[in-house]
Amino acid sequence: MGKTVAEINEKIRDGAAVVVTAEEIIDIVADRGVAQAAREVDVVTTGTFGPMCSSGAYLNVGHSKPKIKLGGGTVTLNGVEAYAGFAAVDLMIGATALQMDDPRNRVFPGAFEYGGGHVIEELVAGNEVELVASTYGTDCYPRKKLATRIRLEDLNEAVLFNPRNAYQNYNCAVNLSDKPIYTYMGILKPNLGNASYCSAGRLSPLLNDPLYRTIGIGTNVFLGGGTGRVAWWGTQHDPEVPRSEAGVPRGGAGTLALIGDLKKMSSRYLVGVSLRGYGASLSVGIGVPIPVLDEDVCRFTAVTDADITAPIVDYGRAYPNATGEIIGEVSYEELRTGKITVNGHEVRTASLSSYPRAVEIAETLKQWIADGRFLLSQPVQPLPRPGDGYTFRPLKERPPANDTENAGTDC
Amino acid sequence: MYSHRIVLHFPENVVEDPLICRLARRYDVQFSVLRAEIEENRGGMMVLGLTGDNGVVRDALEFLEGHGVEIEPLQQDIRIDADTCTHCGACVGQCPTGALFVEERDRTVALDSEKCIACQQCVPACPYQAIQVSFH
Repeated sequence: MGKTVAEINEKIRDGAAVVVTAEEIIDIVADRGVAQAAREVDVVTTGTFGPMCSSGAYLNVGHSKPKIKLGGGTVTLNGVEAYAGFAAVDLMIGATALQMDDPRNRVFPGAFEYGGGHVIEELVAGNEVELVASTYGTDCYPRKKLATRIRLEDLNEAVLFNPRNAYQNYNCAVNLSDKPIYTYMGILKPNLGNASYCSAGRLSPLLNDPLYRTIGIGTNVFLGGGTGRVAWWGTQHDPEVPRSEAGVPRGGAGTLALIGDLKKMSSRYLVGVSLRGYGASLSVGIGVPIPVLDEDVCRFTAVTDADITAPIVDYGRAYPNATGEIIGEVSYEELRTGKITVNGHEVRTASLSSYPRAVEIAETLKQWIADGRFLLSQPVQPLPRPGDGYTFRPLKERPPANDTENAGTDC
Repeated sequence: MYSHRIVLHFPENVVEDPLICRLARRYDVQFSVLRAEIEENRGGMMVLGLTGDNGVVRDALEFLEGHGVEIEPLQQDIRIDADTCTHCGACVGQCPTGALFVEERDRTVALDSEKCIACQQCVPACPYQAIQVSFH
């Protein structure tokens, strides 16, 4: 006999819901069996915290006197380029945007000390951020220049809107080349000098609901220390990747697009990131509650690090050239020991996502639900699931119509 | 038995003298070179992990000092900003000596200063700019 989200919410309102984290459910299922665990536990909370480049925030800064039309102009926030291709005073700041005068990788490897992720962190921390705009004048928006300081609390709307977060599993990155390389997976030393992975494993939201039975569009989540919603499936969502017999994807698969009120978030869970030689980004804290509707849902939440494997990928050659080759597979249980064996060599492992902070998020969300401050929501539409035929496709390059360089010539 | 990490500062005029090679041939000491560099306009610098009988080590160090080499104990000051560090572990993968490691108990990142050779590889690897190493 199953439970419904409405029934679980009733228990949450009554303070009677049994809420555990995705770590705790593992022992509960092992001790009591899945049938009893499914009856006794109502909600399992998950968590993850790591760099998620496809993140950003849109802001409405309000109208100046006289009015200015930022749309179509150029705008910077603390020198970082913002996107202004909207209406008069709507802006978007992306996590990987950089300051105009950042040397990028001209001096390699670039430091990328300050970017859009840092601007978002500063706004959330309550710091003043400098907005400088230059645009064209119109009859209704005559002003052409604006330089002012903004604060989060003065903005009309400030909304975190991330096109792709919470990747369901990810690569374990190594470097087979003979030079150090600087990647979004961190610095990879030559000749298998280290291995980098980036997933909360058994605590990771989509790895606890691998077939997207409970997480869907509209799901209420912990986002950046506040609350948010699953707005859509994330970009590059790929439910058709190979899976284990238990349904766990054996590589990057599902993703979530998330949205939430930036004003209610915290700079503990939205942190600017500098990846040497790669760029700026934003680490995002996410926690998704999973309603234990039935035994199947419960069994999935009891996934362990031993059940989840990551493909080992050479970022020296295979990744940049999109060859799709993998060197092997490794479980998160092995990765967390600190060393793995690749091609007969012992290789030190390190995580780019923070497991302690993922635990903190799962615990916080558990507390919110136990206190009746956070209710679950029934998705309004499922995410594309395995078998739906939805896949992540590469770009098919076709030369532009008048591109003589790529199209070739007879002369 | 002497077993310590020391910093040798070579004056410019002995940079090309194979002093360490001569040290190895003349004295029964064991050492590993943890770090070595030529400093611009300042001669050379080397960090040695040195082990040997007390008397032999004393003689060996006197030999080096006799050639103008300044010797001091390794003192590194590695600071991880507790407010900024998220305990991800990105630094751990860079650390060549295992000085930075993940605590098994709660998976936080910890530092064993005894093992740190102040190589500073962790500094650029930290995505949160949380690590500073000063070396003297």
